[in-house]
Amino acid sequence: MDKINTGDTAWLLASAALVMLMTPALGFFYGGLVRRKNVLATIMHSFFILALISVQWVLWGYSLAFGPDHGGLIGGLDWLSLKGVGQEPNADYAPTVPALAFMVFQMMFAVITPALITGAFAERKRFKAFVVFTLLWATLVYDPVAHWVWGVGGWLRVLGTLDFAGGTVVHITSGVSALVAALVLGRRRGYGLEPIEPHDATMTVLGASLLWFGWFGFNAGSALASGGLAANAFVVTNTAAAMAALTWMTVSWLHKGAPSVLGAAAGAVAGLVAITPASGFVDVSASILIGLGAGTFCYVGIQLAKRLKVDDALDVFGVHGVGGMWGALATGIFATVAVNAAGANGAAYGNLAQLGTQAIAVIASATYSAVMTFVILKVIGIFVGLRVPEQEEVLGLDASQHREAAYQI
Amino acid sequence: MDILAIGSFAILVIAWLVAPTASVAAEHPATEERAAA
Repeated sequence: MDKINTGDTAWLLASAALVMLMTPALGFFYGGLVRRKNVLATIMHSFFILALISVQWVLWGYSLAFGPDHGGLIGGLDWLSLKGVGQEPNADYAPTVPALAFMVFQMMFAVITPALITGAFAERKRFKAFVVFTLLWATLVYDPVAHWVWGVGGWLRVLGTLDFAGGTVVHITSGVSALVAALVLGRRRGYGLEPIEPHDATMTVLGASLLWFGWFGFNAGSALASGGLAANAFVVTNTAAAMAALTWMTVSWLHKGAPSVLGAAAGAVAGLVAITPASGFVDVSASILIGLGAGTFCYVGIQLAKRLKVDDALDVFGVHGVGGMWGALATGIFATVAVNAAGANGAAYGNLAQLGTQAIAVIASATYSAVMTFVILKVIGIFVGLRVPEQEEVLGLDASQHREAAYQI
Repeated sequence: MDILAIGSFAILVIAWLVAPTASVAAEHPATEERAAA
């Protein structure tokens, strides 16, 4: 029987708590970016998902993602309601911590992923449609893709995909789904005709800062042990975030004539996204290049989406879709066994095949997410209706969906 | 790769030095009011 390591267990539980904080932090990041009349509804998306997926995950989500494999595609229902998931370690996933600690750490990833998508349909989606969408998306998209990449027997894991903390599982799935959601729901009323400005940039910067803080749990916690690999992940995570913040701010400064505060915040998040799959496989120099690419590619991606008049309200595809794809491919370029012997070398170290493997993972997860999201939204559109009526959108979702107001001043 | 990393950071530093410094603050009404006061 595997022996529990108290240091590893303490670090993983603390990391789970750090990742938990990221979802309300995302609510503040997004909440500041919307208009005053929609801030509560936007924060509610993240807060509600924290509760909803916490229950979904213990009932069936964890079992579908990490339960005994079925054809490389999905876990079984053997661990329904966490049956058999207890205080003893599961040697397949984390041999030195209780299986429950690994489960709750993974729960926080399952929580934040659908919350990321909410930025795309902010300010116009019916609350009931959002609830149904989140539950279906978590079950039909997140859980299977998590199994493909991380589950024992998952086909992308067997193929040799490297995804240390969720570039494919979390960011590509949510980013691509966000793009599809933005296209299916259509633009906000007044988009392109009147200014739609962030109502509180300070809230957004606070949210980004808390995301940055929580991301240390996301990436360094994914080492699943308190040791050198966690330290490496911690350092490269911070470095990539910093470099991407500097890069985004610089590119936007040169492009628009001023060093944007919101740009620096968005850049930091883009860097955090891009380093996520790589954080357990790359060194510090690579993390600087990954941050540089994130700040540049994500900024360009967002400008392109705006030019195409896609109303991805809070730039989810630009940050998480583009950043996730760049991070996954960059892992295939910069990974080195000098950092993690259990990983693989990337193209920069003579193993071009790893880049091909990463590309397959990107294409498969993006295609599956796009198709499933489209189908889910269309079905919900038929039975529930996706958007609020025009007068409710004009009034704002805080009043129309929740009968509350964020501010009394 | 170390050279690329150092070079990319150096490019950012150079960009900050050459980036536009023009400000609209002087034309902003609040600034004018403060100046008048």
